[in-house]
Amino acid sequence: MSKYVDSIHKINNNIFVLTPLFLVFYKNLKPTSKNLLLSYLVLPLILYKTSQKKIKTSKKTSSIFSFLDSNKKEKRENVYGLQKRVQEYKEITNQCILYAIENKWLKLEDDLSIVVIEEQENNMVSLSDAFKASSKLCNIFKELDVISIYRQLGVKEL
Amino acid sequence: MEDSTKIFLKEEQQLPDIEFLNKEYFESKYFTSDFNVNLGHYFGLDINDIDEDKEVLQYTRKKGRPSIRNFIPYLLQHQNLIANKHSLFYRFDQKERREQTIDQFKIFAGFVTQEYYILKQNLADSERKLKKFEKEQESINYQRDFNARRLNILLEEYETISGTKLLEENATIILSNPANYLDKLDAKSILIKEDSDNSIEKLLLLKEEYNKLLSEKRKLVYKYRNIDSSTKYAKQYKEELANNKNTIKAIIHSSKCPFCNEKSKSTMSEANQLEEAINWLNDELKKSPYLLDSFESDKNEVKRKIAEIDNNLKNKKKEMETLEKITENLAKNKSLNEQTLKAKLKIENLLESLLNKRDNSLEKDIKEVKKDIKGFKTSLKSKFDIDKKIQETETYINNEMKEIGKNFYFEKSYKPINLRFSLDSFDLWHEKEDGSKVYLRSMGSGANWLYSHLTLFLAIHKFFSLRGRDSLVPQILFLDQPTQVYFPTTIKDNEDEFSAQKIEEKKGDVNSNLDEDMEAVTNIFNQFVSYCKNTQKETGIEPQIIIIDHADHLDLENEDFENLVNGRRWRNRGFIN
Repeated sequence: MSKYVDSIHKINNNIFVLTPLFLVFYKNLKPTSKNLLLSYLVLPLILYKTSQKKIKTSKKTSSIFSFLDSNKKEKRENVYGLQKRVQEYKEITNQCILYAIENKWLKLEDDLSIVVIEEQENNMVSLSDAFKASSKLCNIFKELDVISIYRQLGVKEL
Repeated sequence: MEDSTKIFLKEEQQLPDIEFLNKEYFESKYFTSDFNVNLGHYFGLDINDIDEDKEVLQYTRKKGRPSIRNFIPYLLQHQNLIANKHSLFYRFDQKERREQTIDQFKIFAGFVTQEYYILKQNLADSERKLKKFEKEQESINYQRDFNARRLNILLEEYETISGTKLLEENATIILSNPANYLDKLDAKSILIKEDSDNSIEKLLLLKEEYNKLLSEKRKLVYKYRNIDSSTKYAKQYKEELANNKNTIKAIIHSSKCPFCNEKSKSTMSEANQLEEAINWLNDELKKSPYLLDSFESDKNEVKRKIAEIDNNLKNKKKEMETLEKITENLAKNKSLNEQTLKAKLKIENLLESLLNKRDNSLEKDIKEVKKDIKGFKTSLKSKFDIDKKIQETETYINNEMKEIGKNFYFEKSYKPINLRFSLDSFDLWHEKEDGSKVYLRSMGSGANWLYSHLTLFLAIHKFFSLRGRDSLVPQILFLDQPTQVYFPTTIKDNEDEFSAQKIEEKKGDVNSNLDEDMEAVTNIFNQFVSYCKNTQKETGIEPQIIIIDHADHLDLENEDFENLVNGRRWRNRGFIN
């Protein structure tokens, strides 16, 4: 049984299916220095159903403040447990980025910003919502610098 | 006098000549320790209890009986008060005195009698009673709801066992008259549908509900875990900041090719860059103590919801067990008949227990108290209607001030003067055309302050005159040096005769406007004279204004100044020779 569960997990959480999510994220994000670091927030935000839903329906006018408003309790749900998820997804994020660089889909500039060279399609039906959310995550991040984004989301350590 | 707390009070039919009052006149039998109260009786002050609610006395002091002492603010404007911008009334800097005077205005104006306060006390008592009854009612209602739920469960239990309904009516109707339904139950024999699969259906339904709740609970628990992890991180982070441990976790990260699991050389430099970037970010993030709001409250909320569901689950489980027990009992050879009878007895038992407790009198009590309250309110309104009277008085005083103020020399920016007085706070202000208020203290210039005081007090006394015998306050106004604004008291007037010229010289003012000042002073006295005459014409009572002042030999319009002074010049003597 445990082997079965592990296998299912592997099928759904491996770098080959997850990497396109990063490509579509960086495609829409305006390049800023060190935006490589934002990659660690992608999976924790778009694979968690609550925040995924919010990001998927975000608009151009959205911002990190409409995503997380301290006055509105239901919005705080978006970041419940985010720090833990960041830690959990850290390793696979590392792998995805390196895999993409190796395949020359992404290029890492000297200022640690990321440039997309070649896009990849999403082939997983179960990931279509996540894919859409990832393409829209830039609505939330806008052109804020990396530290502000981490701070606003309450993630204190990578 | 040996006993200094006693004061002399003697009633004389004819006023004795003040010159012949000697020590023998003050016989000791006329000394009373109850001077204030007795004196008050002569002014018609017969109210001794002005508490509006006896119950609050537990927490506050009893309100003092109204005293003639509180007349004084209406009667007296001493030297430092008459042109004062901060205070209008005598001794209003003492909070208690101020509140008493304001509170007792309705007594002094003759609007209320002792009956008013008795009514107020009764009203407060009844309102408190009503509150108490309503609380009792609430708890009875709660109990009723509880019983209704209990009865519903029992009725359902009966139905599932027997397959028939015991009573057609719902629980609330049955509870409204338990005796009636007890009789009905007595007459009713147990009926059982043997072929009913009621209990099975019910059991399945319950199971479904139970599972639904269970899944709901799982979702919440997941959420709870997430919040919990967030709060834990926040806590940990805070502690680390407090300990100021600036340790950087070095993550050894050897990049491997994900396909062949061999160390990849091409990505080595990227990996190192990544490493550095992460360290940099962690460093930067440590620099600021910025934290999101604590999630503790959210955590608690979710916890509460989980507890609620747990409770629900427990109830459902109990119901399921009851149903399963029927089958179990059948197996143990307890007939359906027997079990149905048991359920019926349970219902009868519940109804019987309510029979003794029922209390109809509360509703009657509430009705009665409400009637009392209405009665007190109606008599208060029909006999006194304080709010309306106070309102009318304010309007009257404000209108009078408009008339009286017209003739005083207010400064240009306050013309036409539009003074307003509030009987709620005893505040005075000038209301501009746009409705904004200028309070006395921000008006500026001694003349404006003086005229504001004079206007207000003349208007108040006109009102007291209008009330005639109903007003307790005597129509006497004592003014100490109203002309000080023009001839300051700091300049010593030690001449035998009043001379405006000489005072002006002492002022040493180069741009002296003596003529204007004299005209203004003369106008003040002219206004007093015409005020007294007008008031007598309109109300039949001529108020008395007593003034002590330096100004002398004024040339008045409608009155000979010497008549007013009547030889009472005290330039060379004091009050007591």
